[in-house]
Amino acid sequence: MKLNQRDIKQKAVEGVRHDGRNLEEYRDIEIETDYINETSNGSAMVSIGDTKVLVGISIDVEEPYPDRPESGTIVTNAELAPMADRDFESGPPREPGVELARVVDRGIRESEAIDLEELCIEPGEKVYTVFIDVHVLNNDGNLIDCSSLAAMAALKSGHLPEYDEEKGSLNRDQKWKDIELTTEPVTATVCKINGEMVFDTTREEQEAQEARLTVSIDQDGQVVAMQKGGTNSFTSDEISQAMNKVKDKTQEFRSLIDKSVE
Amino acid sequence: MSRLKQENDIVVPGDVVTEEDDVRPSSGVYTEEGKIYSQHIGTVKYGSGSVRVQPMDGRYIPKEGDVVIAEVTRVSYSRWNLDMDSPYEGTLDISEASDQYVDLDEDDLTDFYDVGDAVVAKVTSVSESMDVDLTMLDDRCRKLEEGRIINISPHKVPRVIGRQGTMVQQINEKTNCHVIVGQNGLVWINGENPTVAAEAVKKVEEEAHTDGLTDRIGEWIDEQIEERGEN
Amino acid sequence: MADEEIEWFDEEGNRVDGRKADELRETEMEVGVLEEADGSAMVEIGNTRVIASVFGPQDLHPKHLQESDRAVIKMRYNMAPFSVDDRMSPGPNRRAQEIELVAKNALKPALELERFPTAGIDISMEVVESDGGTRVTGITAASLALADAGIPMKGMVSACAAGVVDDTPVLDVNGKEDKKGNADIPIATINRTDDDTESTQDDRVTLLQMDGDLTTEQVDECVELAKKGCEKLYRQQRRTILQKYNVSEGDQE
Repeated sequence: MKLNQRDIKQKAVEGVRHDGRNLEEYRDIEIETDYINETSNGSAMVSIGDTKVLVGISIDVEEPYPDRPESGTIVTNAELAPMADRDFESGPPREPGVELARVVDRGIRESEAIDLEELCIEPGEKVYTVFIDVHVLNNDGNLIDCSSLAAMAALKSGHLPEYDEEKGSLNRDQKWKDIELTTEPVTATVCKINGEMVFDTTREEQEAQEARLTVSIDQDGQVVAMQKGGTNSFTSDEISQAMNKVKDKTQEFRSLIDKSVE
Repeated sequence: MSRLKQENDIVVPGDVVTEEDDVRPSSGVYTEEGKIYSQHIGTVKYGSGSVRVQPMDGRYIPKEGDVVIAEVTRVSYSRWNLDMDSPYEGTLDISEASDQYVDLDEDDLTDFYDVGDAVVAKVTSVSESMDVDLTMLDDRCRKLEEGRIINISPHKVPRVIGRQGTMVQQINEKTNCHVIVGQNGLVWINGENPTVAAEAVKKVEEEAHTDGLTDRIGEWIDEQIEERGEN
Repeated sequence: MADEEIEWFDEEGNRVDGRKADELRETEMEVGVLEEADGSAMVEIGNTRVIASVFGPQDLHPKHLQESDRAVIKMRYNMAPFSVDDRMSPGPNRRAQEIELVAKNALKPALELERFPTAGIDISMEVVESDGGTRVTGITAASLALADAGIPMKGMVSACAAGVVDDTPVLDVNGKEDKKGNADIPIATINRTDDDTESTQDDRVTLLQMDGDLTTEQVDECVELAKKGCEKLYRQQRRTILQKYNVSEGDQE
């Protein structure tokens, strides 16, 4: 409702939000790994407030790309399930779904969190492909952060099945090896609402935003990926501010992921 | 012939409520072979010689006389379309928006209400094909300029209003807010402690089927205001 | 283990997962699991898990799909890519389309659609984990979601599949039994009840499919078995709903 948009913008300047949080506060975050027992190679159900995302990891064996014969592959896909939002419709992934997949992917790929050479089984012939499937089940804003968290938790608790040379296929019944991560990138999004920097926006707050900035930071504090979304602009000062605020948030996120995987 | 469910019992679709033949089926139930069955997850309510099931939840279906909160979605030559958070849209004709003369060729309807405006309006009629007519010519109707609107189940509206308005009055007084509850489940809140008021409304909605609610809500609000009074 | 070597029943009559022929897998149900949807539920039977959601009644577009005297149902069935061992590529497929049709027809007879002329009701079933019986689990979940959404219903719909394994009718086939067994017969029924403790007295089957190679007697046996399974599931649906409102069965006398 437009009335709510106006109220959200007004209150943002006073540092107040509809649910009583301050501008930098995240809603309650819950992470459940191994949500899917039998069929996937790693999974996590994550909720931030009422936003719920389920990520499943599937492993397959394929031929490598000809220009990278010793590299495994990562494929990230996002589905905005119609059940998540009255306004989501069935069909091929539209813009928001595609952007979500690519932003989640970028944080993982650019940080080199997964060592692609470790995924090589036989150079030029066989490599592991890691499919990261993001399934949004309930949308109350901040899908990017929730999906990224879920992807990391799923990977961290995931495993590779062994490739059986004789059979020429994967032994799916056994958890052979953990998926090893070289680093754990953390992704957080900041939204500009009436000039204020706001973290973890709800669906309604999102509608009041001018622009958003997503930043992915690896364990060494290096910025590995960024994405600006929304139809308005940031000043370069605001971008710098946002990056640093996100950096401060990442430690909090890391301990949350660690706790869930224990 | 037996009365299987008592007043305020909770039932599930397909549960037999009563087999008595002197009880008339009202809303939320259907009859088959002398038995009255529930159509909803809801609460059994007996009236004088009748029985109904009050659903726990469900979308708003407009009824004549309802005062609702709605948002303008479209402005045409002589009327507005409004979204009442219902499968059915409402129409406000210019003749129901102003009792002054309006020259449609001179005046711009957006001077009255524009797309995105929120109003309190009244349902004047609902046709068989679900055409819904609204009016703003009622004392309770107005345009809403500030504040926020939250959403509850239309079936919980009576509980949130309370007997003779006592529940909503309590919320108003303790949070220093003005709360208007639309029959369609949209609730407008404006004032000093809108977040606490909003949470109180949601709490009533969740616990609507329990006892001693008014006192509990009152205590809860007092605690919250003490802890985190917004002003 | 090669197919011919699978022992479907051991000496004590236990199936590959330890169940007897007429036993349902362990079932968990939860109603009201998603906030945006008007109604939702999750049902887990063994390793098969389906989440169902309902939006509606709501505005239906495009207009030519509207029916002037009743609500129109749109059904969606989707398997998440990670719900099966061999990842399933996302996208529509013919199996899903067929399931959407039979599931819609399994639920429609229980719904009072004339209450909402011109409106639409969108039902969605997402399979997050699959081990046999996804369509019947979806229907059971969808019925809970419809009730949760406040859609008026004549009764609760529950669904279950029976099959034949090693010439023996079995209830609630799991993935292995489905792949290698001799038949798969999913069934849905509309259920009602006179009081909290008495058995249901309805005999309305709204879904029936069969593929396999059976005698008519075997089919009869399977249908009876599946109906019993449906009744057990219905009792659990009721319990799940009442528990949500803190009512124990038998409390209300």
